[in-house]
Amino acid sequence: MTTFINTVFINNPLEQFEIKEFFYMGGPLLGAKFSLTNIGLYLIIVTILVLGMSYLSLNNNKVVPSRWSIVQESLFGSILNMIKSTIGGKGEAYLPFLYTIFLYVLLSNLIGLVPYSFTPSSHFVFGIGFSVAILIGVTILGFQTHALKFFGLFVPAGTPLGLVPVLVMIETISYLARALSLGLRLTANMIGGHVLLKIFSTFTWKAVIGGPILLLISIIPFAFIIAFTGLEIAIAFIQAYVFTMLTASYLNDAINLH
Amino acid sequence: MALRLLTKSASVARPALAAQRSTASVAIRHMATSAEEKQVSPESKAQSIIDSLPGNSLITKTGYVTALAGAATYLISKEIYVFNEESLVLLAFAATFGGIVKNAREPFNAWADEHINKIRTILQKARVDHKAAVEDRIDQVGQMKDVVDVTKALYALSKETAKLEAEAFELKQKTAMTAEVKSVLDSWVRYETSVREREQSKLAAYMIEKIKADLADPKLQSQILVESINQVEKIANKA
Amino acid sequence: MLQSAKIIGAGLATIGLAGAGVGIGTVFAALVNSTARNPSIKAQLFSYTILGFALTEAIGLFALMMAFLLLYS
Repeated sequence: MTTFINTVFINNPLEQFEIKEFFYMGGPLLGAKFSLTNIGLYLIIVTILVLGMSYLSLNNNKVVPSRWSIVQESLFGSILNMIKSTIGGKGEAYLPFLYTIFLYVLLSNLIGLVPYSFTPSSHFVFGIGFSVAILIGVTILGFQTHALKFFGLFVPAGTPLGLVPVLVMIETISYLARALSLGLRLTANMIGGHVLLKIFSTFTWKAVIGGPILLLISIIPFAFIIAFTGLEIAIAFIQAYVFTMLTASYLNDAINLH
Repeated sequence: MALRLLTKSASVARPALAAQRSTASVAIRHMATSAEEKQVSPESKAQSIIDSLPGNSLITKTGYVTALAGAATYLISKEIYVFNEESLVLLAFAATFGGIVKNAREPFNAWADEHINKIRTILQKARVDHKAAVEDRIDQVGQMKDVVDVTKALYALSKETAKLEAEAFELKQKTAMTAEVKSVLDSWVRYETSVREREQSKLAAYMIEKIKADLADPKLQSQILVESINQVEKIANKA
Repeated sequence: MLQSAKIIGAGLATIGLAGAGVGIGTVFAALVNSTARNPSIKAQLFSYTILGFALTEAIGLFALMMAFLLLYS
């Protein structure tokens, strides 16, 4: 049995998500440890990429856009359309926020697809950190806009009086669960996709070094790897879009109270 | 560096594969003896592969390939670059990315150029429209280029009119004044005349009274009589 | 013993993916249905479908994640 496990799973597919320290500073004086880990490095890279993309799309402040800025413009336009359809006119104030979230999550997803790299969005600290922060912000916004009427969110319209306590409990729990589910969805998708790729490539590698006949057969799983890579690229876009869309719908709850 | 080397060597290896495939298909077509499609001869294919390599002469190209192959071999043998399952992911990623770039580039470029041209034409049209509007305005204004002189003349005319009106008014006032004075004087004259008439009538009445009284005096009556006799004598003498 | 239990547990956890499969199938079946009924709102329907697909797939991935947690922790 153990030999079977050893031959099938030599490498843990979750190994790629390990956080490694590159250097750290700290000590008795500072009391805390400041370290640059690979997730930190990749988050910095993503930030630089987001800023660089946006800077390039300025196109020297020319009126006629370049091809590069058209891409950003169409991304911007699609996010704007999404906000208009989910929140409505009031939500356009949150366009920069949602657009930044979209770009950041999208690039964090995409940078993980580059071979030998690390996926920042495959860590719960990324997704759930984002979603908890968003939920806190949305709740503050709701109380600021509607004061105590915001609690009306927890009582759906037309509830019989007897059901109100139960429904309020359920709604409160589901409201708080958003903080977890929003980030968990993104992170689970990323982990799932990368683990799938890793397991498939491990199997295929076993076949590649197994012998000439297996090498020939390994073309089939290799085609699957290519297909999964394409799927992963699509999922990176979809998940970034869904993350932004759900954030927008939570904002909608806070602004328009259903 | 290792990555770049690998991609380079992969790109070197891929055309070779393609060449093999094409030779295989050539062989199959020879068997089938139905060469309808355009065949690429192995020589030209090889030439195109050689042309795609960097360098000028055949020697430098060979040098590049040898150096790349040597470097790749060195890196792999010293285990600086290790072939493992991640290499497969790298290959798959390169294939997917290359496929996306190859397939999406042309439509994207066309779409982007169309969009850019649309914006550019809109801007240029706006510029032309603006220019036309400005020229129109210039023409309109140009029609009124002697408006200053006309205005000046009009102003002078109106000034003159005002002056004349003022004079006319003055004259009218003077006339009215004169008429007033004249009427006053006339009434004065009438009054004076009536006063004089009254005095004269008084005087005449007095004189008539006086003469009547004188005539009643006999001394005067005799004197008149003498005087008239004298006159009659004088007339008679003359005759 | 523990290893085999882990593997069995992970395998059992993947049963949850059946539900996700049904869900994704339902989502796209609904897309096909509605597009056939009213092709003019295809773009809007597609964006909803993508949202539904992502939500459903995430549920499936929770099961997959349970399997990984069982296998490797």
